[in-house]
Amino acid sequence: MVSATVSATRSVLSALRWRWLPFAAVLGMEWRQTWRSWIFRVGTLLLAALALGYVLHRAAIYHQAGIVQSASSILAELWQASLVIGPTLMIILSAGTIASERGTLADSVLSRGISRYAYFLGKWLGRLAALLGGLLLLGLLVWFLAYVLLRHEDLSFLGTLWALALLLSVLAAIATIGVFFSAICPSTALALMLAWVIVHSAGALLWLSGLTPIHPQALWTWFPFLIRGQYDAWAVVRALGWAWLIASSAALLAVVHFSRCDL
Amino acid sequence: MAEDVAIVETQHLTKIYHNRRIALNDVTLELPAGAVLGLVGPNGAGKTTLLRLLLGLQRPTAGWVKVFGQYMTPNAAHLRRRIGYIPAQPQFPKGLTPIAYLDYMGRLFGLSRQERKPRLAALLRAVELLDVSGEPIAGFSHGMTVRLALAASLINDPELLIWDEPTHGLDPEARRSMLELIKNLSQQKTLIVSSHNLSDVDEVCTQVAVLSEGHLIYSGSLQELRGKMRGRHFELELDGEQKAIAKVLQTVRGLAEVKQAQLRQRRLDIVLQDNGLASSALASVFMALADNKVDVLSLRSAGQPTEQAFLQLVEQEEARGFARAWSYREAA
Repeated sequence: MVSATVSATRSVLSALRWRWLPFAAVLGMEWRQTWRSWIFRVGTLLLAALALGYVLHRAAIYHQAGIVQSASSILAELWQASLVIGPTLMIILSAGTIASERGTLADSVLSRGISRYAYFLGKWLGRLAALLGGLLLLGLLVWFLAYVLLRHEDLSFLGTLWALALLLSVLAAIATIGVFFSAICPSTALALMLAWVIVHSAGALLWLSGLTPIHPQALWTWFPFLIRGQYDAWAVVRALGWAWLIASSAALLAVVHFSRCDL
Repeated sequence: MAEDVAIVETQHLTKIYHNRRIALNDVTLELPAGAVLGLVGPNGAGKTTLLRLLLGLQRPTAGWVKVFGQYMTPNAAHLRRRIGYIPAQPQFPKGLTPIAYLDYMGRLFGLSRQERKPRLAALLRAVELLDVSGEPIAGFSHGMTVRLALAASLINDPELLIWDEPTHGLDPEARRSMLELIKNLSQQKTLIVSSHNLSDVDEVCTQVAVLSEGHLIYSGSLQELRGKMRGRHFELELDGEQKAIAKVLQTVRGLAEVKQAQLRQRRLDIVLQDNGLASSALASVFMALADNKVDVLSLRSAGQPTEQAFLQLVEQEEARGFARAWSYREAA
């Protein structure tokens, strides 16, 4: 009886393993390949240099000239700047996720024991994890430096985390739209162009229609309050929900198309 | 799986790209277990398209593909777990070593660490990449990448191997090893080998499928293909006066059943017209020989190498012109 149960458990685990192992392999490979790509490294280093340089510059003003510099306002400015350059960067870094490998590397992977669903999910989540992971590390580093070097009496740790989560979620939605176009377009250039136009048009439409709280203007004005801890948690959760709803919808549409298309 | 289930089966398989290009046209094919199928055809004949359809990398516009008795689709991962594939131009992720690449391939097939690690080590040794197994693949020569792709195609111990141009660009020694490997593997597995090199196909394949402009113009055994083409070409070694032999040549050239006749010293080469009985044509030839008192020392059906048979087949197909439309309707 016991041995039969053990055997059944083993076979279930084995079935689960072969279902998840290909997905995990693609996810891990995508994560590594993204971190290895020169465009990701250049983009991240550029962002890091700009953000850290700005914090150090304001710290120098504070310490040398004695002009008070508030960490909350510096961080809010940086988060706002990320809203301006982040979407373009996310699109550049995500538009080639699938399109760049069509007919070449994708053949070598999709001719093995992996379904299109697992491949897409692995590529999407791997790319997203690498992009958001890099930005999260950078955000925390900037927060730490601002906290240490600048006046931080009005800085809320929890509020900063909420603001960072909101920023990353919006960027995740934009990166997913980039991956969506990468899955449906035959070339990276076309995916990049379409994603850029659609994301910026959609941002403008959301702003004008006021349908969701995650349009650029709302976030722009929101960040300083969030970072100081003056926020309504429910409103933040709702905004996060919107961002992830957009991301999930784009991913769902992309996977449905990709699972049926020619490579 | 039942014994009589074909390993690969296609019915009316058609692929049209964006209503602009017909890559494959009504291909019906069946491959039994243990066969080695050589897929041949000129450039752009649809060989790679057919292989990609068999793997589910593309979806048919019409018709269907069954592999191991089940429909192949882009999501049929369970079927692809039993297939080993070498693409025509293997590509590898950047920055990987052969060990990392084969490990990745093993994971894509859902192989556990205990299964894939020993297997990849054995394969790297077999394809003679053991001493460069820690080097980046980016620096490899073409021959080395083909060997690595070969190892990747075998990591899951597949039942069906689909190799697209496996000998392309290999040096003679590597090509010989590849052909020997195909011969060895054919004892346990079913293989589909696409190739431009007909002497390779001749050497290792038991069956051949000839594609021309996306259409399957021949599918069957190699012997049959050669035999089919051979039936119209004969060589006769003659004995008699030179003057009489020359007269025979003239008579033979005048026969309606004879397409071409040539005399090389005392050997008469005759190519018969495509239609009509060969025996009747030969009877007329023998009559001419007897009338001129020329004896026959030997008669043989001039064997054609596969290459010649293939070229003749493609030529015949092209020469049929609009008549092809009629045979299509008959087949349908």
